[in-house]
Amino acid sequence: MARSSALLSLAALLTSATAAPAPAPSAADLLRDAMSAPQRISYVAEVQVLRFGTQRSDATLYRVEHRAPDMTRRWYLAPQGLYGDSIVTRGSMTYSVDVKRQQVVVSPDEDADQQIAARGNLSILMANYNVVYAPDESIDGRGVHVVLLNNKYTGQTTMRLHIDAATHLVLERQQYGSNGSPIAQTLIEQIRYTNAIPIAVFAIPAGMHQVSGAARGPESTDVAHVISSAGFPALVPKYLPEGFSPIAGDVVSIKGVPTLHLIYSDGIRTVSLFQNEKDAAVDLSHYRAIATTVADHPARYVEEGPTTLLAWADGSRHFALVGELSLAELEKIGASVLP
Amino acid sequence: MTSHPSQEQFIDYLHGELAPGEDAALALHLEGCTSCRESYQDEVRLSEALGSYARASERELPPGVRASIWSAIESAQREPSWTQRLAGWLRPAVAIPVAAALVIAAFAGYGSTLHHGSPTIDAAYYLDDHAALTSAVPFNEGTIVPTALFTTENADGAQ
Repeated sequence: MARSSALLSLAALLTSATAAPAPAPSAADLLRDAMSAPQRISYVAEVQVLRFGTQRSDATLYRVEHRAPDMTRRWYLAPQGLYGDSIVTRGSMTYSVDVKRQQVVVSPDEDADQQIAARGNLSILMANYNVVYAPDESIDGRGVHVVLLNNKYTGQTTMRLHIDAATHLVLERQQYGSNGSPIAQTLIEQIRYTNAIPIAVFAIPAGMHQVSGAARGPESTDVAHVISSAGFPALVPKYLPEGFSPIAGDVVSIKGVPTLHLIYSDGIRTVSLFQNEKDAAVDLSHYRAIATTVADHPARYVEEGPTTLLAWADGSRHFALVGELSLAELEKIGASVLP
Repeated sequence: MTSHPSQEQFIDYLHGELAPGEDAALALHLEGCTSCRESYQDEVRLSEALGSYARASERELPPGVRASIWSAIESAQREPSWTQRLAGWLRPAVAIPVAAALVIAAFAGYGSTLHHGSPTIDAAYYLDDHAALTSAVPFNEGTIVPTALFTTENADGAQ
């Protein structure tokens, strides 16, 4: 009797042990896994991207078919002007299918290259943000781990990720501005995991005019080398928000004007500094530009959703700062660029 | 008038600067010459565009601007013309609105496509380039809509 009781107890113990949910991975491991999830997980879903500006917001809605590791089709549903257009990514190439103009723009898939860089920049993120688990939630009946990325210097939550507990795919992402207000949100809805997406889905429509898209110059993470190759004495900011460091740069010729582009990031937030010394001003005529100053220099800025572009000049040298930081932060960075 | 009028004559005709006889001869020539009529209409459209721009940009000018306009005109008049075309443009009837438009445009300022004759770089380029690079940052969206699909009618963001 005693023996059978012991066996029952052992059986109960084993049963409870196997029924217990697997412990959540460490936050760092989960983030790493989430970054690489699209390379191993195929799915069909609807994606909603919202970008919130100070005065206006914009939304984009598209269907996505993703066949791991590197074939994706986005089929735009909204805004209305994009309805029916699609983007097909096949390996290292991207095809932008414009049904209204009956043309396909073929270009290298920059995002694919950037995703490789992104894995390297995860260490910058981990250095500047505390990764904190929030209570688990569910999306469309699927369990999700909620991860908060809190800035180590300000304590503010800068990003909130909802990561599918089973596949580790990011199903929802919210980014917050320096004042805590949301500035962007991406939501994957109606997701269906499947390995049965026909290859034909990623075929490029026949009968359309194919044109080559503008290729950007290769970015380099050797920022010092990029600066030295600009062809003019480049200026760099003496002030950056805490945690920001240079992550990449390039020199491109725009309308024959050598333009230096430097990118700074803290792992989540980014700011781009463009400069030329050929007196080539930024054309803001298509935007509602607002006057301001950068260290007493007349300047103008425009807002595109959460992104602000600040432009000013110092003699024949023209600058543009672009980023999701506040205008005050951009002005402070801009002032520190000036000699 | 046996030969086709020059561009300078068109400009002076447009602004009533020709002598009466010459004015009448040119008017008569325009009646019967299609190509000259088209050239003349080009001058009319250009003049109207400059006038419209000046009116649209009208604002209170800072002290000294009026004087600088006249100074520019006077110095232009003093200099010998280096081509006949330029000479035509520097005639007072034309130089006043042109110089005014240029000075006002310079005053209206930064961001103008008339900026010192140097090329301007569309802000969209910088915004696109920045967006493309955000995908180098973990968990950022990257390019949501490629520029290739943003035709003018799609460019809701550009205002």
